[in-house]
Formats: sequence, structure tokens, C-alpha cells
Amino acid sequence: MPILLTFRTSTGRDEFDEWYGSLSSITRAKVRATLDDLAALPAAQWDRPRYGHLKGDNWKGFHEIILKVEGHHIRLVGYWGPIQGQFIIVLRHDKNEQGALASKHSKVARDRRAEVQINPARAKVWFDA
Amino acid sequence: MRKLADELKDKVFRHVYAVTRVGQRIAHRIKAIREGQDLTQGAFGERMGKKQSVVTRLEDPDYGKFSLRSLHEAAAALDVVLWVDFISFDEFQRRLRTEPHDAPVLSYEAEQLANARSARTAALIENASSWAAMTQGVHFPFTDDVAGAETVKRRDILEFRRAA
Repeated sequence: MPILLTFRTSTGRDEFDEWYGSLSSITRAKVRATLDDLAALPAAQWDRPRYGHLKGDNWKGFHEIILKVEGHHIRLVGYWGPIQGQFIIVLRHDKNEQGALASKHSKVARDRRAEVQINPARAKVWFDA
Repeated sequence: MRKLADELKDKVFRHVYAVTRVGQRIAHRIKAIREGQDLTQGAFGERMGKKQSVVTRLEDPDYGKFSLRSLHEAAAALDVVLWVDFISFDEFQRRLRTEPHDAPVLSYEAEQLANARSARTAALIENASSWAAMTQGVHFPFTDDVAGAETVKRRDILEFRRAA
């Protein structure tokens, strides 16, 4: 079954877990339940409306996990890593606050992917199975 | 790494998490059992006497607003049993880890058929074993008119061989 990993900065900061930790207990439970449920499904069964493939040259190889959190449309952008079943999240995008995904976001995602490819330790497992 | 066991220490978290996961699991189970019976959403809906959109909603893991009555109706349409129970959080975690959502469930009729086949195969094996013991060391051509063949028919032997 798939495992979710999150990108860490060079200083070890994990903005995804920081965001997750900032949520209320109720919202955190819903988010984790959705992510755990997704992780319990074979990757072949990941599908809309919770998962999708990002289109466009800038987003080649990237996919998104879509969450509705307290009225916000959150996209967790990531890619399937070289180890089978590892989905590496490199970008969190809040559509309500940041608008549509733009090329500047894809650059961040691509840069982070490149960093993880150079140093795989920059991606850590988010949740236990 | 965030450990679920640690997060479950928060009472609000654990109950919302449980409700959400159970709702998601029910949706996945309905879909998996329906697909296991080669039923389209439309055909399943017809059996339930509901529109396809109702089935779509039941199979939406983010829906989560099931009534016991609607789940019993779904179980009846699938000819299976809805079993509800109260369990501890340790048991809940264990089941989440070990019980796949797509485990097959036979409908009543499919189960009866499977049971009948098992019983028939067991009887064939028993008959053939007895017959083999009885005819040990004897050349036995597969015809219906030789000694010993009155209890074991040729077609049964061939079926047993196929089953074995």
C-alpha cells in the first residue's frame, strides 16, 4: 500500500506537518482519516475527487491529493518516488488563499523534487501505517 | 512521524477519526461487494429500489451519512448481512491494519452453491478413495460395466481427477 512522505527543508522544517498540527482536533482527524484511507487503497484505486494528475508541461509527473478543510480547497502536490508506493508531497496549495496553481508553484515543486532526488533523506514518512 | 496511537489520545480526535474511517470503509465495502457480484451501480440501485445517484452517494468515501436502514437495504440488495458491533480503539486499529476493504463476501445463493460444490467434491474424493482401496493392484479400465463400478461412475472418477 502507498506511503505518504513529506518534503523537509534543509533545516529539517516540515511545513506540511506544521500545517497539520495547526488544525483543530476535529479537522486534523478528518484530514488524517482521509489520508490514511487513501494510503490503505492500492495506488491504482486513487482517483477523483480525492486524487488527480496535474496537467501541463510544468507539472509533468506531478499529482495532487485534494482535501476540503474547513471550507478551504487544499491540494497536496506530490509525485511517485523511485521506491514503489512512495508518494512524496512537496507542495501544499490553498486555492482559497493562493488562487489557482501557477508556474511559480510548479517551480517550487520541481525544485523540491530535484532536492529529494539528490538527497532522499529530505523526504520523511508522514504517518505511521 | 505522526503516530496514530499518539493522536488517538485526544478524545475529540479519536471519535471524529473513527466516524470518518468507518464511513469511508462502508463506502469501499459496498463498492467492492457490488463489483464482486458484477453489478453495475444502476443494477444495484434497481435491486434497492433506488436511483443510481443514491448508490453513487453510498459509495462516496467522503459522504459518511449512512442510516442503519439504508445499510440494511444495501445488504439485502447484495444478499449479505450487515453486521454492526462495538469495539475498542485497539481492536479498531488492528482491523484497519489487517482487514482489507475489498475482502470478498459471497451472497447467500453464491455461498449455497459453493457449499454444494464443496460437499460434492468431498463425496467424490471419499468415493474414489474407497474405490481405489477396493481395487488396489487390479487393472481397472474406465468403463461402466466392470466390477466395482456400480458405486463409482466413470464420470465421477473423471470429475474427481479434474478436481484433484
